[in-house]
Amino acid sequence: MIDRIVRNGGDVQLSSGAATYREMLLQVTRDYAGLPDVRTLTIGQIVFFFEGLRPELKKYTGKQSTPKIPSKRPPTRR
Amino acid sequence: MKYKVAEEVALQEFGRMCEAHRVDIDESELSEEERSDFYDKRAKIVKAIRLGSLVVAENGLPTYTPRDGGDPLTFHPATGATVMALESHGKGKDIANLMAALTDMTRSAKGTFSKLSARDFTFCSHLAALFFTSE
Repeated sequence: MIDRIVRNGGDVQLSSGAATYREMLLQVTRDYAGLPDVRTLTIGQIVFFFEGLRPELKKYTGKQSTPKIPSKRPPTRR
Repeated sequence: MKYKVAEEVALQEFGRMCEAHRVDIDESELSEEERSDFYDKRAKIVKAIRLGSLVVAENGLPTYTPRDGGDPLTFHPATGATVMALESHGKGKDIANLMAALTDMTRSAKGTFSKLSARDFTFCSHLAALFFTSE
């Protein structure tokens, strides 16, 4: 079974492992400043670091309420 | 075809190899399609173990001896470098990218896989595909 990544606030399984680990690798590289050389990380370690980000990713990629768009109608004069 | 290893032993060796490469072999959570794909890959690998062309070391790392000639290839667990190697030659060049990833996993010299026979290369790609699924 291929590990799951995060999309729109939920877990999603991509069709290939390669695409999954590519995305996980890019995400952990971006979010962990003190990471050792990413070329030496095993898939298990990449998944471990990604799991640490999962709740945060779900929170920030989840559907948010639609922002209020200001009315285009000109203000009425009294 | 003369088998050198009994099927039960080959299946145990397969299990050890999967554990070393953190591949989940629990079938309970697999879909119909995934299960059929897994059985297909497992059958090919178990057959190679039975024939003696694939040997699983004590640490669980498999070594494949190409049947049509070539140096033995030991498959180490995939790393970030393997993932990066999958994009060495850009999009659309899947075979070249796969060869780059296999070269990284086996820590072999550049061009090793391009010299393999088609059936040996196909087997190595099945093995790599198994290692790119996990728990």
